[in-house]
Amino acid sequence: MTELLNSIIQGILIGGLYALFAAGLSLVFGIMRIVNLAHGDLIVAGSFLMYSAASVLGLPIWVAALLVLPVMALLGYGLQRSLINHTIGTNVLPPLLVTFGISIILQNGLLQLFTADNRKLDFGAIEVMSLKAGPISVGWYAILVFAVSVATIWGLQVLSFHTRLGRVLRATTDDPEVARVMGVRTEHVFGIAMAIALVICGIAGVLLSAWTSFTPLSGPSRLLIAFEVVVIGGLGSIWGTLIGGVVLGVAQALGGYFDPAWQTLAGHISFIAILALRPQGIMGGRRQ
Amino acid sequence: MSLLSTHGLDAFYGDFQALYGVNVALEEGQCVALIGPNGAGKTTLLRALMGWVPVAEGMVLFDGHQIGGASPDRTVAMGIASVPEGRRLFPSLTVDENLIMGRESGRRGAWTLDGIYDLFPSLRGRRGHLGSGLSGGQQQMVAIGRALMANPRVLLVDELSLGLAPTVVNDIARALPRIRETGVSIMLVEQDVRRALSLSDYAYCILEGRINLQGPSGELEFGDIEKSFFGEAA
Amino acid sequence: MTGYTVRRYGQHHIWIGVLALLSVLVLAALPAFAGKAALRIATEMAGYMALAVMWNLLAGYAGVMSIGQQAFVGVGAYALFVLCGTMGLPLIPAIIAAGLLTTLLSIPVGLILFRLNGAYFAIGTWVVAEIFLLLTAQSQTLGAGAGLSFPAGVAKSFGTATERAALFWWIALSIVLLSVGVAYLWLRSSRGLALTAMRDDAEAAAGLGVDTKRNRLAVYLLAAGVAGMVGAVLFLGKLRISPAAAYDINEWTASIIFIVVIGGLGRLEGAILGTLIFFVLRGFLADFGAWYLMAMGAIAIVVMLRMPQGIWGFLHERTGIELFPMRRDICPPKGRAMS
Repeated sequence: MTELLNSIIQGILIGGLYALFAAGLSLVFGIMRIVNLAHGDLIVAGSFLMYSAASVLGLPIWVAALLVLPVMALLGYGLQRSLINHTIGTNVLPPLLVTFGISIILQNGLLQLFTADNRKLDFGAIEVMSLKAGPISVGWYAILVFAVSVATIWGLQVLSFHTRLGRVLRATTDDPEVARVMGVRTEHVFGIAMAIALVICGIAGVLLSAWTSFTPLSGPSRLLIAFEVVVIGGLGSIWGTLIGGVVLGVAQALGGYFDPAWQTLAGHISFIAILALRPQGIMGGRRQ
Repeated sequence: MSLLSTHGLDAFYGDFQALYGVNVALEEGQCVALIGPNGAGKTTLLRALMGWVPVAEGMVLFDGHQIGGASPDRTVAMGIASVPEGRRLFPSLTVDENLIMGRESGRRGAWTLDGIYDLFPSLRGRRGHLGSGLSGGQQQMVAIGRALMANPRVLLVDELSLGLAPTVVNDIARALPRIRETGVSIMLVEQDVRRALSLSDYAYCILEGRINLQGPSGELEFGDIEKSFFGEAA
Repeated sequence: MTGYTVRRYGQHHIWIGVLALLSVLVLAALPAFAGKAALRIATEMAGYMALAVMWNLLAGYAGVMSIGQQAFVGVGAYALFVLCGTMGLPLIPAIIAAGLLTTLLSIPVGLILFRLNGAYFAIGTWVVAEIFLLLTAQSQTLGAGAGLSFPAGVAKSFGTATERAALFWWIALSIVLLSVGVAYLWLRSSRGLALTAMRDDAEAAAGLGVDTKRNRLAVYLLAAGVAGMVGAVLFLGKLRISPAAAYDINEWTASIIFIVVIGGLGRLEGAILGTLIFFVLRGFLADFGAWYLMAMGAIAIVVMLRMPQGIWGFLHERTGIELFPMRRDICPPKGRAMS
């Protein structure tokens, strides 16, 4: 029984991280109506940037982590302005195909640079310390990851609803054509949105780099998680992503509790079940 | 020299030509009305002026500069603000936020949030409401206020009264002279011919992409305009 | 309107038809002068071409963007290994059964996934493929993660290695001819006209009474059936199957998308030309491993941005050439000019 409870708590905590995976994907979809198929690979790229800064260059963890974020932001803005902006229109295919191409290039580029070996960073003592309350024991690192995730999502909420940039982002999400008539340079705003999305990917990538091992080919499974969380939580809801993340995390934890091989499968099946029963997602009221 | 003018303006939607060699002019401080039946090209003309429809550079002159084909974000920065057809407020932004979006052009001047609420007092109590929750008339007020927040020299208004109750239109129409007093020139598309003539100094009738009648609003005969709608010579 | 006729073929199409018939005969006779290795490659090409024709029909005409066709390739392949390898069903019925099975399977999958729009549908198809992969890897009967080998005894019953290569080639050739033929006839039918209208403008087509959802589902089912049969014959040639290989997104979807995009989306000829180009590139570059895949990704991006109609579309625009006549010319009755 306590073991089950421990699994569920673990599932909730990793749900925070899953919400981070989804937040960037959801932001980009909301504003540009495109799904970035390279999203998962960009999370992995964040992990590898962290690995390069911390393990290869030997920088302290905090410095390395803070270095990853601006690099990701620049990468996002650059990718958007140079490639993805040219694909935005009424047709769904061009953005999918171009981001698919970016995904393949990223995977194989990372493979060329870092080989297919499993990597994992060591963040030191925090990884083994745990909070014990009677029979329940929760790792401090998992708590830290959850706290950072919730803080990031809260930050995104504040940015959206209490800043000029957030107002412009929401207006562009509502109606990019009219936003342009107001004087908004939408191509720039799209670049900024992708930069924000990739900073969130960077945070996720850094947190993940010590949570579990990763390889250049780990991206697609991250993308699927991000996507499932968005659908479960409901499109266009920032807090919905957190709920979606927790639902998926707990579903995986429960599946894994009964049979370790069922962990991922349980997540996918919960996604299909929600899609069949409540296609607008748990928090989704408005459909696009 | 006119503040804003077109010179042999041709405009296309894909293969379809919507405007043929159109010449219109708006003088500083003037209010010009564009009238004509549905699908005549009035909206296309406004869209060409604001940059939604691509046209050749020399076909549009603003303050002595060729601006044809400039994108909407550039035309608004130069001082041409617009109220698009159907109002098109940002539905998930509040009234306040919708109005503040008008400042994105970066133009500063006399129009402020308070100024807009003085112009349309009924909006004041709705500041925190979402754009999507307003009545049609209030939406039109927000759309006009949003454009004014750009402190424009020219205000383009597409379909001022479409779908609105006459009393509401009167409220909005009463605001136009006050807007003109602040030095804003106006070009408006209006279905209601009598109202268009009463609000404007000069009017153009458009039919099938061509100007077929024009003149000072006070001198145009209603009967001539009616004939021009059906393509008969005035 | 009386007196107007619709002309669907031009003079030169007769010659193209004769040429096509000759090429089919030559291809069918391939085992007479090609070795085992060449036949294996030809078989593989035919499989990819069939998948590409179907993906083109899905994405290029019906506007259905699936990145999960590997689900059906995998299920079809496993179905063959079980039906023919384990249960002893004869080869041809087993392959047809594999196709029927994937078609049936695609009905519930399609019904659930069609609730998602555009890009979300795409990733949904991928999730389904992952579910199939994970379920297959769970099943001890299917050899779990390690997979299955095709029983040597059953394989020998198909003849010597050379005879087998020829047999598999004929099957693959039949599948690709069937795919091209069905796709072509479909596109020429009134249903196909609806599909072409959907490609040009789905909303307008729906407005004109084209049942877009039903057409989409129909194409999805057809593509699933073909994918199942292709999976069956290609893994039969390999004589080994594992979940990772059978449900490989890179092999069964990424490569296919590359083929269609390069060749020309929304052009039946594009899938054929794209397959040829893909195999030539792969032949020359595959030794470069990751660099080769990066180059493929880069080429796909550049073509999508600079030449979105693909190579065949580019040729068609310049020269008007088409191998499969799709256009209908309306001919006015003699002595009357079209207004």
